[in-house]
Amino acid sequence: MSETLLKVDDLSIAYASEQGALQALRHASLEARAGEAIGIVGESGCGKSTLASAMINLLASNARVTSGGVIFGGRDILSVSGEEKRRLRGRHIAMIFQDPMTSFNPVLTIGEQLVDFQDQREGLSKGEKRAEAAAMLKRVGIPDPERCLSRFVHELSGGMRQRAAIAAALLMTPEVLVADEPTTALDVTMEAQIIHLLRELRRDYNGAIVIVTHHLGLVGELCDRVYVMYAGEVVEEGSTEEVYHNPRHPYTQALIACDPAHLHDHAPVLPTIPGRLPDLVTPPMGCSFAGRCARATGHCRSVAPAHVEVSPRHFARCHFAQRNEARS
Amino acid sequence: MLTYAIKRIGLALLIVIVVMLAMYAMVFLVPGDPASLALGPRATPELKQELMRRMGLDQPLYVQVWNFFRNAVTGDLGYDVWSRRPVTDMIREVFPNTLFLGAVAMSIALVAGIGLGCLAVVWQGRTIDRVLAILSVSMISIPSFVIAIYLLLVFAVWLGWFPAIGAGEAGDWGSQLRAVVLPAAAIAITWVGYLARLVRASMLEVMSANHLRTARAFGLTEAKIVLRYALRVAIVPVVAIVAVGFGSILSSAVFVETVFSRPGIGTLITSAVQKRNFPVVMGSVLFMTAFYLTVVTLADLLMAKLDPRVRDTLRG
Amino acid sequence: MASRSRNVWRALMAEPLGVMGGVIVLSFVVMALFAPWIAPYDPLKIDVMHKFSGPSLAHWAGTDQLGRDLLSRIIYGARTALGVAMTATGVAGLAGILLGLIAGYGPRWLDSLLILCFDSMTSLPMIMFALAVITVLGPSTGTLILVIILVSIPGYARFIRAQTLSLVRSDFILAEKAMNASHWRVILLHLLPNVVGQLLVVLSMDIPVVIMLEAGLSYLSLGVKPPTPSWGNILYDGYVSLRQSPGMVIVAGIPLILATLGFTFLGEALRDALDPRLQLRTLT
Repeated sequence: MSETLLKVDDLSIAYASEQGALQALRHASLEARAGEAIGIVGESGCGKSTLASAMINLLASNARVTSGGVIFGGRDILSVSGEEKRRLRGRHIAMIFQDPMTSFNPVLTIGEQLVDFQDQREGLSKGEKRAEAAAMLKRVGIPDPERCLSRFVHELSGGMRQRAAIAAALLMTPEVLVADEPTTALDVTMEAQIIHLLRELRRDYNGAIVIVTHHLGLVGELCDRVYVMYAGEVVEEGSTEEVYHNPRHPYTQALIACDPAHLHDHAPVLPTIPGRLPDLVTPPMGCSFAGRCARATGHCRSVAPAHVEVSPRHFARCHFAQRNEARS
Repeated sequence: MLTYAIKRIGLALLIVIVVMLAMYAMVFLVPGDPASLALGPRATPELKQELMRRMGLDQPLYVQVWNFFRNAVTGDLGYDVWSRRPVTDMIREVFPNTLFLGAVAMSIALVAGIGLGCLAVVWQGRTIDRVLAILSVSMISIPSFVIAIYLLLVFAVWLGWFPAIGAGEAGDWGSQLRAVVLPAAAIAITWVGYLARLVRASMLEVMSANHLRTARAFGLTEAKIVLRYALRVAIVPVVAIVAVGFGSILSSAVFVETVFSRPGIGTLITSAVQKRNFPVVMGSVLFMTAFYLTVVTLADLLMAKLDPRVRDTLRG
Repeated sequence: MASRSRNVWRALMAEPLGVMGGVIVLSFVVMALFAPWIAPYDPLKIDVMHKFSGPSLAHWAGTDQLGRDLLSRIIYGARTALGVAMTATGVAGLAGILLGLIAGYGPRWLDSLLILCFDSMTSLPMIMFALAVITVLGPSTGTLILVIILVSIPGYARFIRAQTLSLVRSDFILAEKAMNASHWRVILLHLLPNVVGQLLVVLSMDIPVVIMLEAGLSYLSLGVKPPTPSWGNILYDGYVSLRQSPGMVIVAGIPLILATLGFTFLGEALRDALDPRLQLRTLT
């Protein structure tokens, strides 16, 4: 098994809000290994964006770490000094942002920004950094890199923007690459192209890739392991293969059943998951999915389930994990 | 960029021509002719004839309009009805004073306004921020000529720190500077309020923008983020409003120059309006309109340079 | 509707500056309406024996260069200021509604023509335009009101046009049109009620600017003609006798400061309570 590059260990994060502390992330753990891609899936509000922000060390100012940490290079990066945090960013851990249109500065050219993004790199002149940027743009499939470098972000097409964002993240060959909803802003054809590009890049990239998305298909295409999140918790984890074909948590099962790609052509109604997310200011005592789960018992509502290993390296946070065979 | 510039300049020229025609139209819409209006009850037929001839009013309308237009383009704005001096000379004599006043006022407004705006951003939501918000609104709403009179009373009449009237000795920078302080401060106050408000709002908007998060995610230093990434975006609306502000500063100058009996375009126009000295009013108004449009057009072009998004929305 | 106005009222009361502004505005309105009963003297009565007298029990705010009672002149000045402001913004508002509806609802070519006119007018420095009109028509209260109306109309018309355009594209108006409703029905029943409330806020934000303009032009002897009491005229009288009697100019500035602040605070609070997205002012 390859080396673990980044480890999230029992991480809990709360946001200060008017109603009280909102527990956005509760005791989440995961590992990103060299040469491996992991996917974090869940609906909006499940804590996946908070987890992504924590991994690149860019938590909002009202966020507070209440337990655990993010281990990189043998240290908890959430508790190092501000200057050291800055040095880790971009150089060692980089991020591909959700919406490239607003993620690039509107009044600086792509080239100016790609040069600035290499500030951490020493011993290179501005011209060399620009050449480096052009080479990277070429690598992500931008046909005329020089032209792209002298453009402003609003002058690029959606696909070009996304490619430029990926190029930016890869510029300094970081050990960990975090992609936050890398295809959400794109239409279907573009999305296929970007997925294709990410797969190609994976081949000669030795770092760890973390893909955060609500899109099961993307994870299925790209990731070796998947973490399913619900209400701030990791409710199921395992190899993508295993989790997709043999989901053990009722939430994962429902999520897969609702994925349009899995529907039959003549499905009479679109399946949905009834109910809504629990209040995260006062999370339920028992299982956080109990309120929406068809199988929930009194036990589920009062006692929080453990993270059960159903098969080697496949875990599910459910009292009935051993018995929940997927119905197909 | 070039087509955009040509379009902007063309529009400005068109408006100047429209203004000119409109002013001519106004003069002829009024019952009675400008000559007898200017002369008042003293009008005798001979005097009136003489004045009509001097104002060029005895010729057909289209000839008058054409003459005025042709002369204006060559820099001849006609003659003062009473002193027979060329209006162009009169403007040339006093305009530098107004320009100096406006420039000093705008500088005060920019320094104080941006300063207070940044202060409010730093202390956002605290007492200082709230006090500054009330202060800004007050500065925006209190008329500048009232402030001018109070400043005159306190700092010129009572304390005697600054001269009460005039623009200072010609060629003596020290005395000119002393004379400009009070009127410039009076004009600037409105704009200190406006700019403080604007800078606060636009800085707050930029500071929460996605692209600053990106810059942070790539480990740029905080200084570089604020100076290169945030300020470049936040400054755009300030440039836009400062140009419009120049127009409003010229308007305040009309009142404030009168309060301080300061020679300038404002006092020139005011006294001409009071005496109904048509050529002087028309010449000065035309000149000020052209000047204002020049400033606004230049600012638009500068904006397009600063913000590529503006350039593109206006190109199509 | 009742609950909505109650909410607006509550939002207003929660804003101490807005309440302060409201109290100031109300006092000036009372002054203007009941000037003959409130004012202790006839504002035009000359008493040269007592000229330039400072504040006293007989004359709370002192007297001017002709011995006229300053307090009475200020109270009547409120009448002039509010009279001019209300008439001018009222007429300009109505004309703005009419032109804005025509531009927004009428044929395209008319819209383009009107927009060109509005744009040309707003691209001039307001005061230059005002001075040109005053030169032609001669200074008087009537000219002053006309000038204010002329410079205000483009802003209001543009505002109404923008609101109308966005409403015309909205679903409920399309539905009405689909059912062959007459233009008048659409305008009277749907457009006007939706547009007028917001315009009132915009108008109230402009009142301090109009008060300033009236006083400023009167100060330059280009507005309300003396001896009619106007805050601008009183300020001018005080300015002329600044050295003999500084008290006069101090007193004369106060109503102007209070009125502009009061109307601005009230307007801002109203705007925040009704629609925070509205811009600050249409006049600059």
